[in-house]
Amino acid sequence: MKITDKRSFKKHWLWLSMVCLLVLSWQCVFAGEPGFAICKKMSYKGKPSAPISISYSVPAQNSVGDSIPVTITIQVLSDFDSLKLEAIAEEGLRLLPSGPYERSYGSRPRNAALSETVTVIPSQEGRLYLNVFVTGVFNGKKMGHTRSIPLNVGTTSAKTLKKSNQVTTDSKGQKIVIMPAEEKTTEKTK
Amino acid sequence: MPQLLINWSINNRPAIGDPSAGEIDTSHYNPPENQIYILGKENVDTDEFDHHVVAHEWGHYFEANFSRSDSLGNDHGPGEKLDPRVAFSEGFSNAFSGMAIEDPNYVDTMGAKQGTIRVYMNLSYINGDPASIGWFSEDSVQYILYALYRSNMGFNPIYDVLVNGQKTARSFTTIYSFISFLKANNPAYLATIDNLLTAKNITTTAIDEWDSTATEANNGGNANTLPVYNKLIAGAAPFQICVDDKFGIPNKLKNRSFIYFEIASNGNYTIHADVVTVGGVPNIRLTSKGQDVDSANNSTTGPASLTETLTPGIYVGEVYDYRHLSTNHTSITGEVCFNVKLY
Repeated sequence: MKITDKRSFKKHWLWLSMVCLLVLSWQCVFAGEPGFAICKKMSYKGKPSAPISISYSVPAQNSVGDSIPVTITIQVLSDFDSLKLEAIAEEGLRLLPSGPYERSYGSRPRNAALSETVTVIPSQEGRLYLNVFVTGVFNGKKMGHTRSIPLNVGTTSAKTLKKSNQVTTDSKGQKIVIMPAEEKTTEKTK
Repeated sequence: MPQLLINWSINNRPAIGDPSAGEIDTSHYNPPENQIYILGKENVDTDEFDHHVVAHEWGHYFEANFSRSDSLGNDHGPGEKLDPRVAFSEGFSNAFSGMAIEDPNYVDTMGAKQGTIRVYMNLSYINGDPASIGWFSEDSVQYILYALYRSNMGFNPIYDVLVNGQKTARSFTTIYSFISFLKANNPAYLATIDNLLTAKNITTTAIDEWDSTATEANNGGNANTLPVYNKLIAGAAPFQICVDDKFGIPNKLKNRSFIYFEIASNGNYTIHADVVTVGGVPNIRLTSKGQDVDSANNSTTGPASLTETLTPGIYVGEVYDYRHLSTNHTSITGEVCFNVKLY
């Protein structure tokens, strides 16, 4: 790396630190109100998606029984005819008021930013999830996007692996998770 | 083939955080790790039965290990106007999924009982939004490659280009480099190839991988996008290039402006970018056949220079604004222009 402008060593070091962060697959920064974290992903090659970016802000640490505000922001990169946001809480988390949260939007031009704040109440400690589903019609084409928003509750580990699973290492040193040998009969619709 | 680890678990969910706990964001190929991650969270997003998704990610593995991709990665999808390197890589992987499974109906589901369509694409569908077709569209690339595969040409000529010409291309890996090598290798199929390019509003008369005579006329609704490559000549007067975030960031059309130059003798050469638009933060990256040579990385406004000792050959690079590296996706700068020169 060649630094050719008149920057201080401090700035140079800041850049190097940022490069180190980019080497990681994940990037989380703290922004907005103190204690609120916004996480963004890095540049691997993922599957195709609707032209939507879902970001969120949540308190970094929470306790059982807290009313937790979760702000969900949807950036839409193309014109859309309609859009629907649905939020569903997983085990250990309850939406307030109860039931799925739903919100629909009419057509908007490119670069629309839509923001909603929902409230959840945890009933147990751990890393709990609020699932957000966004579906829409973009230039006549139906597409969707989904995001699980994690919330840290209490002082227990953030790891979510079930107790029945075991983390071990294979013969080549790769970390693997051994799953319980059970089959579910839930129907796949595809 | 190099070992490929595919990380799938019923705990793999579309969350950003700790991948070892299943928070993998989305199904993806991770180039530095050379590994694939597949979603498996029931009633949220599972991909183990979405065969095209798995094949799409395997397509990226193939590109990285047997061909070459200069793609920036990151979020993308149908209808978007993308950096042409991203458009080619994703369009190829979409098309490959259809070839591998022998099914042009790409389906990705999500939600309760996996009952909601997340993405559906008919890889054979010739139509599409006229405003979004072109050399910057993954839809257009996937249509062309899948149609070539289904034509009398078949898979072998596509494979030959990917593992030979495309792998060692002097330019970035885009639809132009692919077509340039495909035409050179398959003169009997020129009409077939040109018909497909015409259907997707891509020039049929590019004479090389740079489209050096600037025959491309489809600017995607943004005058800054053409020419696709700007040729630098040592000692020539500076010229203005502009980037912008009109179609989003960080991997969209014209977030980065391509440059290339040829040198005949050993020596020190400098690429210099002056700020034209107040607040601009020029960054310069230079490569040779897919390998990084060096970069000038500014994070504050001011001119950028990159001086290198180079041997004779052709070099390709990009000029962009630091602020467009953000993954926040919002338009933050509008058009940003720089004066660029080589000496």
